[in-house]
Amino acid sequence: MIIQLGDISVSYGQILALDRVSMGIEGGAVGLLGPNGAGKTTLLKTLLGFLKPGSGSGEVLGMDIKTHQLEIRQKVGYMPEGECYIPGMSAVRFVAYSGQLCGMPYKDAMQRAHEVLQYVGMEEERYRMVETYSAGMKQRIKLAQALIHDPEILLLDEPTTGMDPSGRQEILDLIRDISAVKDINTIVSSHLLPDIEYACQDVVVLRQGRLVIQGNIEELRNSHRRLFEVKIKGDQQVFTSLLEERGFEWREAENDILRVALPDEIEPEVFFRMAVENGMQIRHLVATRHSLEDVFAQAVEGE
Amino acid sequence: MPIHDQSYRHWEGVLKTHTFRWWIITREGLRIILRRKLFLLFILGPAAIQFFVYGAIVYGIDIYGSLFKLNAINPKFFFDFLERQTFFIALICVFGGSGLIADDLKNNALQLYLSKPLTRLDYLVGKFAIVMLLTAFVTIGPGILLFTEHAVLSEGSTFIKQQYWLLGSIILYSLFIMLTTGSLILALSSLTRSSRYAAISFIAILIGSPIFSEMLRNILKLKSAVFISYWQNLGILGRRLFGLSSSHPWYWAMLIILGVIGFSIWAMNRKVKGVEIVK
Repeated sequence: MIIQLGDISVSYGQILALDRVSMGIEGGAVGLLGPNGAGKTTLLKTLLGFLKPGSGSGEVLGMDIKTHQLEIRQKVGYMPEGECYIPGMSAVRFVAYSGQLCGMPYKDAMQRAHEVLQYVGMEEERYRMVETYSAGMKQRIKLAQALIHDPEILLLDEPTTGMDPSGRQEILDLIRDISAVKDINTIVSSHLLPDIEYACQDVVVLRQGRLVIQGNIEELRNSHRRLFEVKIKGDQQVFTSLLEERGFEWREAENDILRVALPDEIEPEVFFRMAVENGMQIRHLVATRHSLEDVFAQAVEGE
Repeated sequence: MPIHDQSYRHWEGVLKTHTFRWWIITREGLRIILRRKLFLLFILGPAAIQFFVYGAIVYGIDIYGSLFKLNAINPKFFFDFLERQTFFIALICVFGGSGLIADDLKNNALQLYLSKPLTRLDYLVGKFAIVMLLTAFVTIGPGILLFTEHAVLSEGSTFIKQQYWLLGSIILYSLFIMLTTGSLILALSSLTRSSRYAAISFIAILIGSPIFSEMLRNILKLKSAVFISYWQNLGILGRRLFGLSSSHPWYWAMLIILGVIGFSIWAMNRKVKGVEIVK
């Protein structure tokens, strides 16, 4: 286990940001998913020792988060959310400086800064002053400063914020490469499900400071409930209220298609019966896979 | 196919956990400030010129003073030198110190610093040391050099024997000036995200407090209003340290100066901590 939390609670005054969260993360690429205000950033800051938990215990790489903050930060790379940089220096200087702050000798830090900036696609721009970069470039140098000291765990807080589609894809590819090829454990906090689905194998879903679900994304997709795409001809509102009456979970997808989860004991013929009994027609019925969005929706609604 | 792929590689070195982590912040901060040509040209340059002028005076008096029956190298000479240097200290604080924390707040850099193996104390000491070293360049450094010059050039060992304590006075007075102004500008810098506002507030205190003090003294005939003036407090304490007469009790000035330092440290500690927690 690279991270182990036991009943961790963190408050900002009266507001409970994390409510008795218990979990264990084995490694690899893990997505920290949840709507805004779910407690994702709070969890990352707690792991770094920025915030002291009110109760509970936690360990990162076997080190107590309450007593070994500096040791943890030396082995962890953190890419904060939003725009942040140290002004007055070039990218290469900024990244090397970050390495020195982590305890790297100047020569090593400078040499590695060049390598890491090349890796994140900033080799041509590395001598420009940081403040002159675009939002996407700033994201890349934030990633570079988190990687400079070759951390064992990389914490990425909303890493694709403010990036154009191609830049976003490049960052996601980098994250995949970092965790899968470079063997650095990566925890990606995001509210963007496609990002997590693309870059991570495991997911931790938080909602209102509580752990909702945790597991391997592929396994969660193949959960016990079967998922169907249904399109009807008729009053969709009536149909969805019929689904609710029978206790079926559903959500609307694009083009008037409904994604409906059926329990194991119910056969898909039920859709035809419901349609016939109410003067509707089934125009489209396909068994489909759960997307992470379905897992997320089920987990959040289940709460 | 590239001969040498400069892509990501694992680093085999060992990360150091040294006690003086703050020095990295200080060194980088000094590098950034001293790279500014205008700062060197208009602040450190004139301060150095003033030092050389004083040095020339010491030389002239020590070598040729007996010809003109001059004996002006006394405690007041050193006190005057340091008091004159406070102008440059103010400039250093305004142009070199006002952005030290404010710029980090503005660019959300604190979370970058504090996500590294650094404590808040390391960060604050690192920033504080930047101001201290810059101000030391115009106070404690030239002060000691002038003392040494006079000690070397003066005839016999009378000066050293009689006024050795002056070295302590120079160091102590310089430290008081450096600590007070340094902590004040950093506290103001930590209270805002704009270095401009920090600089304006600092100037307002430096210029406003003597004006306000003078107004109270003249209008209300309040003698103790002298302690409202930032400079007067330093002056009163300085006069005491250099054995010069003063009509005001030094301990009040000392108390106020310590109060300013204490408040500044409290404010800095509170603001840096606040940003760390609440984003």
